[in-house]
Amino acid sequence: MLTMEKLKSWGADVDDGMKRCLNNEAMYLRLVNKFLQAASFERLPEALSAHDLEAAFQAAHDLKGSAANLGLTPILGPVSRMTEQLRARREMDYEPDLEKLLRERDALKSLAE
Amino acid sequence: MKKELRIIVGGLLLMLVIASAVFFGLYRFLDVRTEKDVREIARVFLGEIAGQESSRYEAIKAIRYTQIDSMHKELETSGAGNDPAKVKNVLGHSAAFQDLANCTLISASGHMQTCYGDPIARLGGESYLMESLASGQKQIVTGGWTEKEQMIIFAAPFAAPMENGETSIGLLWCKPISLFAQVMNLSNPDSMVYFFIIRRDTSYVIHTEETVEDNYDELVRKHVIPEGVTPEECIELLHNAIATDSVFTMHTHFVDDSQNLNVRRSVHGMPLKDSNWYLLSIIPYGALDETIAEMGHSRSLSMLVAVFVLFAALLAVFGVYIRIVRRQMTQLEKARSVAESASLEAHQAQEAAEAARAEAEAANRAKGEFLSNMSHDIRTPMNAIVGMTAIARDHIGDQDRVRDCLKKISLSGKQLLGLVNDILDMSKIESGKMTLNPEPLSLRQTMETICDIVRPQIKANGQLFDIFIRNILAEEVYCDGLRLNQVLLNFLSNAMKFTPEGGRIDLSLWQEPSPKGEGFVRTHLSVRDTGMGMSEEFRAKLFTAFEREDNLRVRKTQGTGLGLAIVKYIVDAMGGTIEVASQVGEGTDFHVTVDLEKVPTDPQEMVLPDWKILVVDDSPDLCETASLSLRELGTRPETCLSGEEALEKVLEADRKGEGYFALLIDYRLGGMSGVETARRIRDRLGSRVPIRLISAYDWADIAEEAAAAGITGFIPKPLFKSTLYRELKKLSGEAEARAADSPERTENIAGLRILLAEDNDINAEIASMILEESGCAVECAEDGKIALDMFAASPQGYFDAILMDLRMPHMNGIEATENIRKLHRADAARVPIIAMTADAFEEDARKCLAAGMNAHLAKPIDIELLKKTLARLAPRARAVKSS
Repeated sequence: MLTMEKLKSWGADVDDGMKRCLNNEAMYLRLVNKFLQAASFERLPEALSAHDLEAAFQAAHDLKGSAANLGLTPILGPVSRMTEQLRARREMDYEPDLEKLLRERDALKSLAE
Repeated sequence: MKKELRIIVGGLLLMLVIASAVFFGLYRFLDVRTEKDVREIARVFLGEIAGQESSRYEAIKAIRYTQIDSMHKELETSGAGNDPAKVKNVLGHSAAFQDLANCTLISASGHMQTCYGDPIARLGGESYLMESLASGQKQIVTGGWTEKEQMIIFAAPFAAPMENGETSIGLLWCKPISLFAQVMNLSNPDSMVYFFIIRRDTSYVIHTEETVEDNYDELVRKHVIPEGVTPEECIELLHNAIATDSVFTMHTHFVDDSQNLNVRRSVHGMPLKDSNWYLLSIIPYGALDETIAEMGHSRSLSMLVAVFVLFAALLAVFGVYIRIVRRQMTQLEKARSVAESASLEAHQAQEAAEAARAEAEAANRAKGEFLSNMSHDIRTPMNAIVGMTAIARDHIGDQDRVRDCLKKISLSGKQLLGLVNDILDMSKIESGKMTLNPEPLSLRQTMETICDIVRPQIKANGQLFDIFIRNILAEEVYCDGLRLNQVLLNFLSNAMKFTPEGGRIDLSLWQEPSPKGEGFVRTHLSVRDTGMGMSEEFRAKLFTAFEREDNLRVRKTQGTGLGLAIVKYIVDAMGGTIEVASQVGEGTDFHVTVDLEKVPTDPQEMVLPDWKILVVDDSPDLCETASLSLRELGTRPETCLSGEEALEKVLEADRKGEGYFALLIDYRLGGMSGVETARRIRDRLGSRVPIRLISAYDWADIAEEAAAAGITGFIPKPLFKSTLYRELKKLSGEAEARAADSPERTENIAGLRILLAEDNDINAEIASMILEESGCAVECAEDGKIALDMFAASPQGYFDAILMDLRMPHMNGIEATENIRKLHRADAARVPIIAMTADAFEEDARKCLAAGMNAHLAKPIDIELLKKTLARLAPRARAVKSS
């Protein structure tokens, strides 16, 4: 079960996220849960291994938007970086960031259970 | 010009001189001519006058001799016969009748018998008379005197008996000379001419009143200065003339010192026929002079005028000529200078062409070198890829082998791609296609991102990294974030490449007021490393494309030499400067200075309560800047440079009862580490005080360790003021304070129907919820195409506004907007479309406006701003709807 405390301890900026959700805790938590199921989490690594930077950018951008809205800082960091590099379609090693991103997601997911 | 002027002036003066000379010459000439003319006139005039007198004289003579004839006849008819007494009587009567002064008979012996009047006392020219009578001359005129008066004697041969028994040979018929003079008009005071009558010996018969001398000779000798001859010669000439009965002319000066006279005169002498008299006509120039002078003057004047007019005309002509010449000269000058500058230009052009050619050749050469260098750089990883692929294929079952090959392929691939990116950038620059897109940029964000990017690599290299920020006057600036990142990453990657393990890499950012004005801030960025540095000569050509230091060390490392050229281009385009300081073996410092335009931010008052905060960092710089920022935020900061000191201070403060509100401890400290310090503090004071760890490194690695030591949070460097504010704010749990600060006035947007185009379902949900909370009706579209269709299918004026996300699959926000605007319905052009952009520099604001959007908001959406924007744009639609 995902709680505010767990989120906080995970490193989320719950205040920021809550503000965006008009301080509706129920909604916020629901949305966080929803976010964890986002398809972009699969699409991003797929696109990267297929070297489809366009698709990767879309996916990363998508994740960035949501993460920012919900104040999910630990995910926002890496996905933000990736988005910027992908925006320029820069060929580089996205592994570290992707890894981090997925790790954080997994961590949060496990907290939600 | 001066020389010309002098020539002109000289010429004018010369002309003036010539004119004057000519004038005076002519004047003199005319003078002389006038003299001559005057004399000529005088002579002619005198001649005429004399002629007149001569005629008169003849006339008088004629009359007189007629009278004498009548007297003779009378005598003959009187019958006096030979009786002298009767003769005398008759003659006497006749004489009385004729009113003579005297009538006398004269004999050959000279005996005179007076028949009437006073007797003749003396004769004027006795010898002449006698001779003439003896010679039988019919008419003889001479003069004589009675006791009383001077007379003119008309003598004629006359034979008559005289009382003394002689027979007369002549009759003397006399009239007073004054009468003669009168008739002759000899002493007319109005006349210009005056006359002398002189005898053969130049003694005067008639003379002017003023004459003192007895005879003319004396006069001449005394007063006359003849022209051209001496007085004596003049007299001789006169005598000659008299003797030969010819005309005498002479021009003289009459001088009388006693009367102060010096007049010019002309003298004309002519004999009176049948007499021993000579008539001198004299005309003084005086009168003539005046007239002539007047004439002369008017002549001179007219000449002067003529000369001046001529002169003026000449001047005018001259002036015009000068002007023409000058104009021609300036035109010539112009033409000459044009020609000169043209030739100069041609010369310069030639030189420029030469230089360009040399440049082009040099560039070609450099490109050639680059290509050959690059081909090696391309081939090596390509070979590796091919080789590794082959090996992997051959050992497909050996997972470890394959994994290793794939890793190497991946590395080579990345290398190649880095190369390709650089080349593409370079070619973009060279063809002028790379332009900057400045957009509002958060320096804080940029620095954080950069740090995140480089930290892993630095850690892998075993290098030390630190970041310093100082004196940040403006966090938000207009800048092309992408390119700024490129610059910093380039410096940092060079630093990482050329710094050995254990070396330091420091990234610094500081600001100062900009000379460009209030709206700008001079921003300094510096990347310093303790790597291998570079030589002086290489530093000079550091930014030349395709150049890399040619030595063994550098060749060992990878690179195209393009990166810095690109960086230089970017910095130049931003209007900034790059300075490089480097020493071989000691390290390098890249320093970029650029004036950036401040983004006018709504300065949210970043204020914290006056908490006592302790900052622990081994860098005095950081302590100072952090302390400054903290003070500006309103807190009471204290600093110390080591963990030991920190422990002491904390315990001390706690003892005093004024404990610190929060502790900010750097991870890396000399001596006791940050974590250790925290643990010790926790041990002593428990968990009351929030301890935050500040570090340039990644939290993730040290999170566990830190948490175990009692550290409650992490603040990543760089420590911008806003970073500190945000992090510390969390401590007070007053995150809502900001929300409470928002304007009381809540925009009323109730009743609006919004079309929301957003592909991210979470974002869509949040946005919908916000809008629904405010009383709007929201309909969602997952991408641009669906949004377009929904709008097209809707009734007129159904939607009051459209919120359009820009990044969507199938049809993005820009396209969708353009298509909506193109629809043939009234509300298609009017419906407000608000763009939602995720990042400041994602899309060009211009593109949005061009597509037909009315406004754009940044994501994550600020609720209040959204409401305000809708309220601003939508009421129009509502007004239409209600009407």
